[in-house]
Amino acid sequence: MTEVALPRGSLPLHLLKIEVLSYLKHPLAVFWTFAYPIILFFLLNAIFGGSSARTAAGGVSYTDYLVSGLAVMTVITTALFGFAVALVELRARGRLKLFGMMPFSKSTFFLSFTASRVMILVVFCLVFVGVLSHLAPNTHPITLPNLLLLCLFLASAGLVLIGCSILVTSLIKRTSTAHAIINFINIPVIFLSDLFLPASILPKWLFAIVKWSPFFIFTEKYRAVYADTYSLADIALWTGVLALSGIVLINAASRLFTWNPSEAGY
Amino acid sequence: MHYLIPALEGGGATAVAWTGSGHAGDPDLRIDIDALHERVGGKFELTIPGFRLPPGRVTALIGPNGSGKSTLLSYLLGMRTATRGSIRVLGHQPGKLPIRERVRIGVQLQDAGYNDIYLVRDIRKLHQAAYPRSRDDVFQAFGVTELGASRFGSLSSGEKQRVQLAMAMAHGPDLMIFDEPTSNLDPHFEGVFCELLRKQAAENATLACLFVSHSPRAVAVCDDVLFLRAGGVEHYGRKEVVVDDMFGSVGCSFTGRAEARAAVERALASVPDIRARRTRDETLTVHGGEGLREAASAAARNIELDRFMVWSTDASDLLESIKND
Repeated sequence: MTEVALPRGSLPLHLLKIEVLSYLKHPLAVFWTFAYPIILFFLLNAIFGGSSARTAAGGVSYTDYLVSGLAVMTVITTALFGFAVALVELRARGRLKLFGMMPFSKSTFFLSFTASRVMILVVFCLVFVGVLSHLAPNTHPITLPNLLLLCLFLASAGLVLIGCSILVTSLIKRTSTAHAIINFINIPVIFLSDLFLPASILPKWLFAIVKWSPFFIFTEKYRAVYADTYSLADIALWTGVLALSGIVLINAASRLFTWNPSEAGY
Repeated sequence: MHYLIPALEGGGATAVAWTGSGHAGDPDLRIDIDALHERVGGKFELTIPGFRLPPGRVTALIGPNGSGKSTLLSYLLGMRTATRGSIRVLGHQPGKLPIRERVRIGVQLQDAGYNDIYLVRDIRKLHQAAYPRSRDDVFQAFGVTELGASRFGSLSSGEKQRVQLAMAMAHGPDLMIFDEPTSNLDPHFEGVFCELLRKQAAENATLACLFVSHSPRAVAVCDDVLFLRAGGVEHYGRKEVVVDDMFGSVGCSFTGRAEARAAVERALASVPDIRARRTRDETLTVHGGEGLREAASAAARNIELDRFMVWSTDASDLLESIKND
């Protein structure tokens, strides 16, 4: 009889590894996270970026505006769809049930699951923003420290979004319901957060509401880092608050989460 | 310590007195159910007056479709919450097993699995990382090592079942719960499962196992039988006692024309202790006490039949009776 147990501490790292690999081996996930924003960038830039020497919101060119906006959009979409919908689907198909019988906590699983998604988002941000801001025409090349700060800021927002996703996952059990709810959140957020559609073109009454949206505020701060017009203290404070809120939210939501679909609700 | 299971009430069920070790509330009991009575889905009532699984026992949970076997497992695993009666699994409420205690349980379920994109070797490593013991020989016996480079979602149902069974057995748990563990396995791996279960039960006196099965080979490994019908306990006790109670010690079948079968029935009319008699197609099957053996052989010698068989009853008769329900 041979026994080949690994050290106990290796479990979160192993879960992290298989979650990263499984995400990267999922063609749809890779398309929506890496390919779709690039396609959208070229499409929107070709349509609206012709006279991109003119400045858009925040004193940056439309191309810069697009690069920073699409990066935020991808983080929002990946955190919501790549997390909530994926989890609900896995649970509905009984793919998480056996984890409930194994000797690790939900927090361990979510720590690894969250870390895997955040890592993917950081890599995306590094590549997407780093490469396009240097290679695309009419862009303001981002410096390495600003790029790293941008990734950190984005990761902290990713934590909050993933916390929201786990909360949604705790309350619903059907994949179709998850799709409906996430779309309900995602679509207005995408169109009303100054990501690729300037908020300045919105009706005044709508803009008065939208400017209080956390997504809008986050996008403005993010764009300030991109354009190098930020205050480090302000961004550090925001990053800290977002990261802390995300961790608290993930912790609370994972307590509500159940491995078993029959207990989960709608 | 010896005890009798609580009296089973209603439904004309036959209670089988069973003497075993352990008593209600004993913390060593792997499973302890007391007065479970639940209406499930508004149309089905699951009633388990008492069921105790002490260490060292392997119990088969059998019964026809819709008898409540899987529902009972879902209560044991905390997927449903009992509102009337009490259930304890390894001394804890189902679904509330502390994380450190979960190394003591191994579970295989029909409607469960792992992320389809996970590689089998990563699932195997997950076992190594999660449990203090991870027996490589168990994974090898189920042929999981050879599946290492495959994605879980690309496996056949039998291969998925083998992965699940290895994951449930490789850490040497104190309690194993299986839902039809051999249903998708080929005869070779069915044998592997039965042999491993037999071996682990022999090596580990603290092991208890409860499994739902329709496989005579798997049921042959068990010590006890819990027979459910329409949500209630019809028989519960040592396998040999349940078989004897339901069928006696002898079974025989007579295949032939209707007149020949009628002649057999007349010849056996005077045999005492006939327990069960049924006709299916052209075969009359009769179960009864030891006296049946000689009378049946005599009848077969004197009556022209296409086929005659006589055997000593075992778990196969239990499962055959479910098939014929």
